[in-house]
Amino acid sequence: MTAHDYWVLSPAIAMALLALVTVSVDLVTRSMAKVSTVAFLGLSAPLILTLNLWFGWFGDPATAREATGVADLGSALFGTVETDRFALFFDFLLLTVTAGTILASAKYIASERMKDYGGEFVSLVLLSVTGMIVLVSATELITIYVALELTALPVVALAAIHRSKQGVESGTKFFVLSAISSAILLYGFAYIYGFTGSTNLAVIMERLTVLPNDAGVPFGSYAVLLAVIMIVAGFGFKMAVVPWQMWVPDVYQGAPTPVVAFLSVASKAAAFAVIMRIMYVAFGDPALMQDWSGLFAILAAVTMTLGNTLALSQSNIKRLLGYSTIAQAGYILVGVASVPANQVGATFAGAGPQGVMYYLAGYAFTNLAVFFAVIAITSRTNDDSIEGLNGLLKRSPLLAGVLVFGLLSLLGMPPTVGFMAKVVVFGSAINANLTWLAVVGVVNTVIAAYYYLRVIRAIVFEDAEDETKFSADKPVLVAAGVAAIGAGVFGLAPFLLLEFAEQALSILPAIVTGL
Amino acid sequence: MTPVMEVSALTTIAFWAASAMTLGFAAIVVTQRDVFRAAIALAGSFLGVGILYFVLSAEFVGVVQILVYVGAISVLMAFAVMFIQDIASGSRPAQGRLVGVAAAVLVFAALAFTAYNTEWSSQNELSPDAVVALTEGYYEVGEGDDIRVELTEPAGDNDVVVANGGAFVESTGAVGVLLVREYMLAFEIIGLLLVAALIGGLLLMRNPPSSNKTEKGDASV
Repeated sequence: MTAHDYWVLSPAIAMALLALVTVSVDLVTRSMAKVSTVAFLGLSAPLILTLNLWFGWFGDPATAREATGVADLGSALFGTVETDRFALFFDFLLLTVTAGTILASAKYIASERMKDYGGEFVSLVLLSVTGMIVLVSATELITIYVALELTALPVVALAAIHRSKQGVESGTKFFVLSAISSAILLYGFAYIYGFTGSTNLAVIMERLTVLPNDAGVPFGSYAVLLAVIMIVAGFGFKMAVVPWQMWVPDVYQGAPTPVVAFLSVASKAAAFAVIMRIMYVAFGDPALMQDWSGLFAILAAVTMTLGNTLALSQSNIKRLLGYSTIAQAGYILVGVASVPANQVGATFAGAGPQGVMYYLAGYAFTNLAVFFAVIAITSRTNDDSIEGLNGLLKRSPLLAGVLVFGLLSLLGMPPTVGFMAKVVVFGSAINANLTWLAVVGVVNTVIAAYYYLRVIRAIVFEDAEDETKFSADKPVLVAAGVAAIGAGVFGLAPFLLLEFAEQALSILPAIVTGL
Repeated sequence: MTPVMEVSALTTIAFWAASAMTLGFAAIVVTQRDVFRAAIALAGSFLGVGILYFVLSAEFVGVVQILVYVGAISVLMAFAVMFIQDIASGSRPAQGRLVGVAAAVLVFAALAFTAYNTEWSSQNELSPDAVVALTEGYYEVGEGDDIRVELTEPAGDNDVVVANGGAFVESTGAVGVLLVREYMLAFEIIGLLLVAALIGGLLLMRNPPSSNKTEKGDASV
């Protein structure tokens, strides 16, 4: 490895080291407060290194900035990773989510039944994030696959950490389905490799344009068609997209809530990042783009509709949020389906992917606010049914406020970030000649209003059996508050994130050069 | 399209025999009620796959397959099966057998259809010389940026000559070089993956705290 390689990988290396340091701190001090503190403050190392890669302050990136004006280091390690701005955007997102998760689980790992395993808990979260950081910058199929496994395996242990019946069930379900989806994914990769003779995304793109095409077959060949379907299926599990969603409600109910919050945001963002990179870099030819756009459009419609319909009848708040995240994945898929190749008129060509990134970031803040509020509430009430939230407004006004705000944002009420994100994504669908999909999305938003408002009604209007007031633990409250403020700020000033996303997009070559 | 390599009769026989072995044992695994016998049959199926790798000239992968799967994993499974108490009663007959068979047939149809209806690039991309180089080895001649590949050792002694075994002749060496060059990152990540597996395994194998038994759900989190 050259110095250049180290710079490109520096955020991932820092994160891996932090995971090892955290588990050692637990070993030496046995103090969970110290573990949380070290992990939280330690996150500044990968954060600074990521900022450095974006701005080119010092080291190799500084020279790169001097030469090109952009601190883009290009690829490293024989083209297996590329820490471009697209990857860095997701690095920032992942680091934010991780910081929130560590803050929100500080009290949880110090609790009686977790205090002996808190270091391992945090360390596994950090290892999973390491996998994600590599995953979002990987540009080669084998690296993508191995990084994907590193993101999933720690989560299996985290989901089953309580070893209660529900915990073991959720861990086992996640493990088995994750293994099956990996197998499907690998089959897809194998077909692509067999057809193009390369595992490098950029080379795959080159070869696909040169290799003979079968006219009339989508993607120009049956092998590529099947491979794309299998790759989408494999990542569909991670994105929690119908029909690979059945693990979501069980895992969400059985796993500890901090793990669920992490899972629902971080793994989803990483999966969307890598699927966009594969699709745009390897299958970014305009003709191919139109083919997979149709595939994602159908998936989006089915996912939104099924997620929302099933959420209607839920009585457990964590299960309800599980189905809600499935529906949200459907909305995000609308942005993935809105490809530049179908653009109508002279609108910004990257609107679809840009919408996906904006939606993911907004959704991350919103969902974290909701989950952290739920953590704070259920840790006091010991009840995760929706009735358990009755009269919350009187019992804990602050938490009730955060939760209601988060739910309104998930629902898509102006002026929250959820509303702006839906506007951007559905707008990009209309621009990409997918008006029917935008209509389906809007109808789904109306359906979703029913179950989100049901929870809000319980919080605001119902009377509680037990009227005792309570307040939340400080760290969770801070995490929930910051997440909620983030959701508010990015809703009121969407250009902050949209501009950031647009800069990150300019790296995806197909969008700029292909059209 | 001409095939890349002349396939000898012996290779053909080995291929079909190994395939029959793999599929036959796999069928036993699926249908056998006794878990222990199923585990043994699975080892047989693994062995068949290992032979297929040898037929494809991937000796290294073949040896690893036999060492790891036929050797270690099968023994591990045998131990796991012995630790399960109700071993005599066997596994319950699978439910939804018809659905399973239908799904398997469908998947096979899709894969086979694709394999037959695709013009695989390897069939027309490799020149005969490249095939010879890959199967019988080659020589790298020249220095610096000016390196050319020759199939026979050049007579002149001015150029630096590096003898190369070729990917199919020396697959072990080729795999080793790939692991520390192109796929170095993946190799390193597997190290982290093992750390994660170790920590996760320890976490799940701990003695359950006694308070766990009385707890109703995980609502308290």
